[in-house]
Amino acid sequence: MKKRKGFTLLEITIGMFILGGVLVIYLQSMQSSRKKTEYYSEHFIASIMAAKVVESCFQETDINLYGIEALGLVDESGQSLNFNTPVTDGQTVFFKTPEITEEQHPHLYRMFSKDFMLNIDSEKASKPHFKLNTAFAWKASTGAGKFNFFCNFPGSVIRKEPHSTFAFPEARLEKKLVERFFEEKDKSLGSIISSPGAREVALSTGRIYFSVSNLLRDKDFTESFAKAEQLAGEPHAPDSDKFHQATEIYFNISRNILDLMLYLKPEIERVNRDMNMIDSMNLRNKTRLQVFIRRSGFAVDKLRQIFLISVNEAASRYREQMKSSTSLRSQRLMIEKSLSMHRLLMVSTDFCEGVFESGDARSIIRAEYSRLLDTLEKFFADKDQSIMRLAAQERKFVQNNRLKDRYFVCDLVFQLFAEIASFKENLPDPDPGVPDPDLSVVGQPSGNGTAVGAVTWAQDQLDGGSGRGLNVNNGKKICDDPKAWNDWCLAFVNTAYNREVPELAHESAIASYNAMQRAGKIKTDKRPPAGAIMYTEATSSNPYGHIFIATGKTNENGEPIVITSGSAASFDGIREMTLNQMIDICGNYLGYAVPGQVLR
Amino acid sequence: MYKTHNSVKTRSGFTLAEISVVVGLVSLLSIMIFRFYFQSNKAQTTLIEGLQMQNTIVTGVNKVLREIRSGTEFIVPDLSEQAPVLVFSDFENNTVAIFPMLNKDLTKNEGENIYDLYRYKAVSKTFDMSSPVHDPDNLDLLCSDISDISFRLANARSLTITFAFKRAGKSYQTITEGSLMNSGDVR
Repeated sequence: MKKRKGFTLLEITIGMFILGGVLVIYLQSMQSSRKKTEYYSEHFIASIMAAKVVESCFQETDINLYGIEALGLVDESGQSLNFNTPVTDGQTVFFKTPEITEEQHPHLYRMFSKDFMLNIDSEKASKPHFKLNTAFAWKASTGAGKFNFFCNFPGSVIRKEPHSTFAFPEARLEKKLVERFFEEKDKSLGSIISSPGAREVALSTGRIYFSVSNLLRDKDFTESFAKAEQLAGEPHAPDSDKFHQATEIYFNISRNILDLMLYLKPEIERVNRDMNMIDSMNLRNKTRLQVFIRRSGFAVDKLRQIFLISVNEAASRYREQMKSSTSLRSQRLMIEKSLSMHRLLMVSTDFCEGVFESGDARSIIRAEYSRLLDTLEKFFADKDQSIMRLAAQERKFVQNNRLKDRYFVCDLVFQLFAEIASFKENLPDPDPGVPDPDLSVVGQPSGNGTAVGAVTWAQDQLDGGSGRGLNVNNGKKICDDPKAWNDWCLAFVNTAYNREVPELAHESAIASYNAMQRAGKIKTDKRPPAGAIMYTEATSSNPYGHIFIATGKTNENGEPIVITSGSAASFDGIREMTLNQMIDICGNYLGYAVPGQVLR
Repeated sequence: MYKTHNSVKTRSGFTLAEISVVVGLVSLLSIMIFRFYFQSNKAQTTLIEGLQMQNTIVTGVNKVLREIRSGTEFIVPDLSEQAPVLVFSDFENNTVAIFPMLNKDLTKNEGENIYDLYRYKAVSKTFDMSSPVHDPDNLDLLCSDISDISFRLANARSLTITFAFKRAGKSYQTITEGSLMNSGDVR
């Protein structure tokens, strides 16, 4: 039998099966490779989309500290809201403009409409931050696909220690206190106030009094405020440089005052809290300190007033600049600034005494703020969703009285003003005869024609004051020359009254006295009120007589204290002394004229 | 007497049925092998094209975003509006435009309009409005293979860019967000 040479059908069939098996494995591997390619493509697009979502969050938080909340990712308490939405057809805030639709983005739509979900989890990472996990999850042909993007955003309520850049020159503080507050020389503060608690109160009072009066008479400060008022009074268009200049000046003034008030806050708290510690001091020194505590209280209150006037001006001017802005960037900046200023006013509604000329401060501030939010919501509704969301969120904060909780600076300003209000309420009233100072004349060349202005202006010429009163007869100021007013006593009093008393327009003090007497305005008792114009007689050594001003204060023996200019024969500069000391220097006392009767 | 014997004739080949079966199987096998080969080749090509396209998209998007980050102020489009071109000022007050230009060769190959994306910077120090001259040194190619692009200003500082790319008949789309990183206040 001849042997067969080929394969049997069975052999070929087995071979075919083996080959087929190999091919099936290869086919499966190819299929798997194709699925993986598709997965990587989806993963790549998801990564770009996640980057877009993260960028949107950054943009939202750039203008809105609570942007993460405004986007609906967390609730009011900062807890995650389990944000989980499809991404097509405007179903999520992140892909609303433009929407991913089948007509406009067919490729993206095909991919995203099949089980593609955007999921954002948030976690309070640290006090001022949220940790966000922006994830895209989808049902890939290989199974489940997921892309995670972790990022930190600002968001929860930010609390921090207030920090002031103001630095008070501590070196000479004790010396100034001894000389100005207690009118002593060559003594230490410890020898005047033995109680450490009372000494701390005195030092705090000194820091408040000197730092505020330094600011109020600071040349740059007063000139810039005057410049802002001048520019604000002129008809400049909101897009003009001069309008912007005035706004910036008001903003800088309010910023500088806030900086100073931040420095003063612990000092005000200490004086407020420990004021009863000065009860152990002797009557004279206690009274002296009480006078300056009272002046400090009024000075700080004056700061509050200037701060709120500046903030109010800045708020309304930023609003105008926002409306007239042609640049989008500048418009956005103006919105931020305007809102910041309005927030400060909103938390200060209870402390606006003396800020508005007429009307109810609370109603005015609320109405302006509401109008601003309305404008923002309407104007940006179809233009910039982040600003619209910011305005809506802000309105909620106001309705729920949450501005103080949400904005650190608002809380700070509120606490500051509450402290000042309480300070003002508890101010001591050491001597009813001593008027509250009129700080508007501090640093000015002359008084303002009032008795209080005359006393404050004259005291501002004392050693430690600004000394900027101008003697028009010789063109000198005491800050430049201590002898500026020597032998010019009538000019000194006349300038203190801003040359508004007709009887002071004479050649000598004694001639002025005679005119007063002819008019029946002279009183001869020794209880002159603050601002009283006082006279001593003409003598052989001083044929012109002498004129000076009553401060309204008395010493511990009830002697009136006067303020007077010096002379070549006595002393240089301006001093306070008792009437008896004045008589010892100048001769017999003639009497005084009451301010209310002598002013035009 | 003749001796008759039944001799069995030995077969020396395959029957027609056997050959038919074998040919059929070999043909089937060949078809499968060729099919798998082409599928594999196609998958490989798709994979490479996909990777190349991803690379093109990443590079292009990054280049555009980098340009935008140097900006301080958007000029075109207006707030909430959409445009195929973007014009902005950079921190040196130069005016920068990003715009698509038709690529005729690619348009012919793909059968639809395909663009290259260019950036042109009009340098304010040297640009003369009275006789504006195009300076080719200030023109840069940012990316190619673009079938559609639109810039939409989301807010004063950021815009949404929608890209559509097309290569070898395949379309890719992506949406991204670009932001101004330069305030322009400090130079």
